[in-house]
Amino acid sequence: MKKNLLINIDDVSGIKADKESHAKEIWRRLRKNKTAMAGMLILGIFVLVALFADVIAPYETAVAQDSSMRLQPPSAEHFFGTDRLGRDVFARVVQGARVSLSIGLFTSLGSLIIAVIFGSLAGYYGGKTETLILRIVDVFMCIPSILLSLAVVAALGPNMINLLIAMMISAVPGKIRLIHSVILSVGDQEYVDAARVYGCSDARIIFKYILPNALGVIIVDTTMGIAGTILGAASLSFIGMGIQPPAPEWGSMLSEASEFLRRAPYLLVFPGVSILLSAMSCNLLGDGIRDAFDPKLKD
Amino acid sequence: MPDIILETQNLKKYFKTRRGMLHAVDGVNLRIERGKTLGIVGESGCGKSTLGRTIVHLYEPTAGKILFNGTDISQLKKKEQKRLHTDMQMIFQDPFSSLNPRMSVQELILEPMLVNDIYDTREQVYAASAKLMDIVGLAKRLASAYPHELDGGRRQRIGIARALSVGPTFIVCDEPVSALDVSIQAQILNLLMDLQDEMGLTYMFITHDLSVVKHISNEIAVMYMGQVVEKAASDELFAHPLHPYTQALIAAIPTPDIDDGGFSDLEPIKGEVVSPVNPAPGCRFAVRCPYASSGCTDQELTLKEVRQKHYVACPYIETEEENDNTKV
Amino acid sequence: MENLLEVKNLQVHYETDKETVYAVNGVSFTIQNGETLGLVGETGAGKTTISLAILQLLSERTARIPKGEIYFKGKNLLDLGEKEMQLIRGEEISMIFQDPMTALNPIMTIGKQIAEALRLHNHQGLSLSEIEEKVDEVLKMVGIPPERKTEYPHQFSGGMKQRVVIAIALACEPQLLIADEPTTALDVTIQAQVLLMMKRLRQQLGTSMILITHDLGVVSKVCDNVAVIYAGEIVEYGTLRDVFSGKVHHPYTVGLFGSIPSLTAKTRRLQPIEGLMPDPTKEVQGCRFADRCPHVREICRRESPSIFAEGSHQVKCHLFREEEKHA
Repeated sequence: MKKNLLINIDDVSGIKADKESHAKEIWRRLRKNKTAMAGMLILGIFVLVALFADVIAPYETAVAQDSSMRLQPPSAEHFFGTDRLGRDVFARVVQGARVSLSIGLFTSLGSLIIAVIFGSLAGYYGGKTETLILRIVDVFMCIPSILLSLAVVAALGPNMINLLIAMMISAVPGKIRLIHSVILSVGDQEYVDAARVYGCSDARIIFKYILPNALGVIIVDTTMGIAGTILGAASLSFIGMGIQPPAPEWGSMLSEASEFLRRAPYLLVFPGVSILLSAMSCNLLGDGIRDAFDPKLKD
Repeated sequence: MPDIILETQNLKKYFKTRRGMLHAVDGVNLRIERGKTLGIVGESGCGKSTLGRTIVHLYEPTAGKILFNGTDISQLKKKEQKRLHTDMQMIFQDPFSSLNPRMSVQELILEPMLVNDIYDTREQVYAASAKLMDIVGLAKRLASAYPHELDGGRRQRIGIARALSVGPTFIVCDEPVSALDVSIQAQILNLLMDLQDEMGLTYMFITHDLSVVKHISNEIAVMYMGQVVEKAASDELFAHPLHPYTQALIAAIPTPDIDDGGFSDLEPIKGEVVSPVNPAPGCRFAVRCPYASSGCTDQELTLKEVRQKHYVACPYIETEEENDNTKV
Repeated sequence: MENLLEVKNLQVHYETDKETVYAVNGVSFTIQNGETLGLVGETGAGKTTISLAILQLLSERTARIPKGEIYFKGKNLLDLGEKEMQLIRGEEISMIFQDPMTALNPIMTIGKQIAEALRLHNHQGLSLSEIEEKVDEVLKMVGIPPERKTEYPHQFSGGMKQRVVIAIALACEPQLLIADEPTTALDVTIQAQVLLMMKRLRQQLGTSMILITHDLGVVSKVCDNVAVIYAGEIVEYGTLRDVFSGKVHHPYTVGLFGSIPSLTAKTRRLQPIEGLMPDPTKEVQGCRFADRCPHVREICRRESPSIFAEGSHQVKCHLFREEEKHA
């Protein structure tokens, strides 16, 4: 004991936390949420498909062209049919899962982490830090995000990593603004003052007091952004600045397919449904995580 | 010599606003004796909360000194403040917003002890939190409950346990019972007074409620627009309120008594408090004061002792030696 | 004298999928012309629900009134349709809410807001200039210089805003004014100003009033009659004198008074009521106060107490019924 305290604890013994650990409790609550579990299952399947893409449908099958088999409807041979170059759509969707999921998940999470750092700095410390960060954000927000990503890719060269960086840079400014405003409103609460009075460090206050109470907004914004980034990457690919053909990617498959909307609607359906399902599963899971973290919705 | 635990010397806290400098706390001199309660009373916007928050270092003072156990704590570096967090604590007004909704009762009480490394082992911390819950009257089964599941009185008990957990000697109570129903308010007031008796705590009790402040305080300071206008022992202040503002304040309380004639015959004090942005020199109450004259605004006023340990900042109230018939 | 308002055995429940909240459990009281009734109780006692029931402003989705009648000038308000209620609201019965900060429209001048209230209930066919004159008159009545009518709510302080709210409520000269904690958000010196003004206006206009408050001090300064409410029931009811200095009291009333620190007497310890208000989602057998009552006996948990009456003074407690028997 490091300080002469006013209370005597000698007569209290054998008391342990009667609570399961936080992570366990949250997991237990999440497990009870059926829609969240459905989301998790779907997302899990997509992730597995992406991981084992080469086993399910090797990359070669996804890029192999066969002009005699152009625009075939789904059949036993080609589950999802073939595209205008006679490539197997199933293999392309499977291989595309790798690229598209990475773009969707990594840009969302990556931009979230960057935004949390700068948004928190701006919102929590205020003053000059805030002015500096927000003015830089303003500059970035003046430029249309597609133009911004385009500039980044053009400067760095078109490849997967640079695409991720470009997508992140265009997503970050908006998120910084969001997190900044959330931090401002939660930071006004008296429990933050209380934490300061008993000597919590700034980092502890931000991560234990402010961000958990802003979780709802942050999760909704992140999961909503996933589908958006997949499509955003598609538009870059479309103008040749993203994933280089013939590499498969859901977004560019979608834009290619729009030409054949009447003749071969299945071309649109499969990548479209994949984007929809993966985005939806993220939303469902995100909502579930948000609820599991919220003690008000306990039991 | 009285044992002074906390003293403020000419303490000032100004805020920059668009309309000018807001003099929230403007030259406050107070002394609190160890083991006693100093009540700070005033209406909204008088600076009483800012004063409390400046003392516990939530705000940097603009000028002046805060002496805690004799050392000036107003200019301490971050590192040196560490010890203060365990010596000085605060109980907040709103038991709904002063507790992190994401933490259970036990976590809320544990947190300050963990942050300040009060105990060596986890077991000791848990034991201490159990003991604290017992002391403030929270049932053990509530340890894993969350604040939203509890009523205002219980939440305020958590706030008290949290403040006590680090073993402070001095606690700033910022309107701790204002948000509570009257029967719950009485329970909490009794608890605070019992804790003071048992642990020898010193309170600075900030409130707008005069009957509460009279009940709990040994000494009372009345604040108006950032300044202390009158300071005296609790009984003395209510028996002989001297400053016109204090008199108006006491007259305006609707006491639950039907035979005092009500305040129907009494004309309540006119006007309202305006926020002290770039205030004019002299008495800030002068614009509302029924006795005001040019003597009130052409000089800066200071507290002077007019009766034994009874200080007033009003030019018209003379000390007893000078004139036994103090005005009004 | 004819009763202006008579509430008979009113019950209000809030029903949701999960639970039923028994908010008001059989409340009866009357108000005569020019009289002020204080409804005193703590958070969750059902005070506000009663006033909303009178104005028929309860949420249609959840609130049910299984029992009870509310007669206003002989008409049962519960039988009236929404159209007829609209004619009564604001014109014959109006209401002041607790928070003056949110009760006013921030983008409309206060003069326009008062004029709007007058225009909505303009049966005498006042012309525009007559309405403007009336606005000036109403503002003067609540102590605001009429020149300020072109200002917006944010230009007024809290006390002044509450005066504007009162001006709007009184503009149509209602017969009954329901004031829900009208001074709770105000500072004590401002509260005194507003209470005094309300008292004078009532005498001047002859308006009856229901004053909802948790503050016994305010009640003692403004009301003629008092009803003490606990867990949706009136536990004590009578004239101001009955409740403040009568011979017998409900133990809850005693607890309420014991909880207030006195300004005159020196008490080291307060005498609070231990425990908490009962869970309103559970139906109670016997007296609702039994769990917190220092005089609780076995009968209290079994039977709901009947009313012990002594002249105008009513107390709902077993304690006195038995004394009556013994006597």
